[in-house]
Amino acid sequence: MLHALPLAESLAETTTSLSGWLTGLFSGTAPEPGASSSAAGIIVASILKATVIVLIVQIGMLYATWGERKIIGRMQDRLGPNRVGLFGLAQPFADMIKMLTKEDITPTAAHKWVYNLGAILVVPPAIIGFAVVALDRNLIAADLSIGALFFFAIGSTAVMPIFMAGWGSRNKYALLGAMRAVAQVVSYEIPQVLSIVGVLLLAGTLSMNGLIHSQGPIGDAFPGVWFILLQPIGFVIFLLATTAEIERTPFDIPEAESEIIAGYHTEYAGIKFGLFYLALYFVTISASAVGAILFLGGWQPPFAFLAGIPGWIWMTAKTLALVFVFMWLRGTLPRLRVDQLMAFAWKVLVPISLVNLMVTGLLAKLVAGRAPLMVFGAFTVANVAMVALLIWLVAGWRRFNAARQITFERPAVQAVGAALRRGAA
Amino acid sequence: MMEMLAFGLVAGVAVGGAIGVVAARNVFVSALWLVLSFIGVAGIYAILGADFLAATQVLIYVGAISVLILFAVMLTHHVMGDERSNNRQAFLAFIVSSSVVAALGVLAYRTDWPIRPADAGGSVVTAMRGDPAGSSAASAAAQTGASTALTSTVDLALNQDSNVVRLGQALMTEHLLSFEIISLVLLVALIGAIVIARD
Repeated sequence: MLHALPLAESLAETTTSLSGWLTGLFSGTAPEPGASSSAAGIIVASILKATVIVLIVQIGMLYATWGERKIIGRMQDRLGPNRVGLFGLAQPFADMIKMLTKEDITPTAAHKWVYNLGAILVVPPAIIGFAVVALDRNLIAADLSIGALFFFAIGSTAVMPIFMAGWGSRNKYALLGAMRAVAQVVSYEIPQVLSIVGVLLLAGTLSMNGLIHSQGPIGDAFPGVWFILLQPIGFVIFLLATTAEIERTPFDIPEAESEIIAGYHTEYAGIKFGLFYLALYFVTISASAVGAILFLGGWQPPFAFLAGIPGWIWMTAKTLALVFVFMWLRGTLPRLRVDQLMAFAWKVLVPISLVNLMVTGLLAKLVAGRAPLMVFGAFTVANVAMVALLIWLVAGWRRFNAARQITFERPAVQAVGAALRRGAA
Repeated sequence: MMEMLAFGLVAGVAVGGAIGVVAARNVFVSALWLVLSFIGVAGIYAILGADFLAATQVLIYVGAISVLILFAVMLTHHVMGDERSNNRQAFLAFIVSSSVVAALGVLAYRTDWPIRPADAGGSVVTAMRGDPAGSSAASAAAQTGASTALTSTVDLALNQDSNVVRLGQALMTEHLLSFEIISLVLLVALIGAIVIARD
């Protein structure tokens, strides 16, 4: 992390052509199948790409921590970090030095290999997903034909290091935290993937650039709008499921410090704890970037006349907007209970995303080949109808639940409960 | 050259992981080695050009099935303990597994694998046939129980860059009946799990 910084400075010397250099690196030297590029050339290009990704993500992560503390601070009527450097901008570096100089502890009871590997392996799944994130039209490390699937497949491996950390620590709170975390991540993976299937269905591709091309004003657009307008329910489910998937508040039950200390990373100290912290911000950024690509048009400008502004500015702005939403949620909502959390995934999100997927598939077939305005109108009507149905169902359930609780728990007010139930029926 | 190097790497990971599974003393650590083996098998799919299959292998086997195995291990075993797992049937296990490897090796050698001429993916398969490590990799892949059922998709994958489309078409036309039967089996398993959980 530290020795990566001089390289960033040498990159900054070529500021004017940095974008061009990056674009060349990510597209020009990319090995074409059948091209006469040597094995060494491919390896060097891959290492360079990986370095650039790590640098960008690392800097993004450093300032995401700063931004989060500032934003949460303001939301709670505090100032946030403001002592180290201008506006506290050097705070991330101070934190990093603190983490690196802390004592490196391995508990005596811990299984040493599993314990240490758990901390090390938590970072790779968080960073490999960036390989398919398109920062600009040509600024993508690997535009795989299965880009979206690749991202979620890599994301699904993140449960393994959590398990290793929880079990390897040999601490009951760590183990409890790991069990909770894994149950949560596996449960929320289902609505998360189901919510993006609607988008994949409309785009007809899994490639990240293909997904961006099929929305927004540039490219072979389906009706020419971002998918958030056609799939608003999918977007909300994606946002909620992703918040749980990356274990951020209000779904940070695996780390609920009031119940089980710090969950699976209770026994980690110093830079090993820092790695968990690092991975949390990496996945926050990567999930926001993929959300921006899938639902907000990636590097596409919102309107065609804004196409003069470079794509990476749009992409960065959209990603940061989603990162802000995650921080906003953390500043606003209290933590859920464990049973509420699991019930929310299986009884609320999965059924809604299944209905959404069904309606999307049906509509896509019905309006295929029609005028863009008609397609957009049909989807809007369907989405409004689905939201209205959902509100009606929730209201009915609440009324029924209130009546039932009164009737069963307090015999004295049974009459009131019966009256309420008659009203509900 | 690159292909051989990559193949050697992923085959080594798959076989090494499999060896780790049987060599590890603790059953939890065995399960972790199994995850490594699954990842190696996904790498073999990727080298064969079946990128969709590779991603699915990671998503299902690493992300879901291993998790189930680990949960089961934790619920049936002394979680915090360090004791050895019971290994009194090592000789029997050796006989069974070596005969399975022999049978699969003979099958893999006798099968007429479809090879595409003058194709980037095809050359990998040709290289694999002459390679003695190929059969060990095949047996490692067979341990996951996935390779034999999916051999027909390998030649689909070699055809085009978008083998997702071809895989979908094959599932929805040629293999529709088996696809639906598998869905039904999964549904029954799901309902069974709910019934057991409610009792």
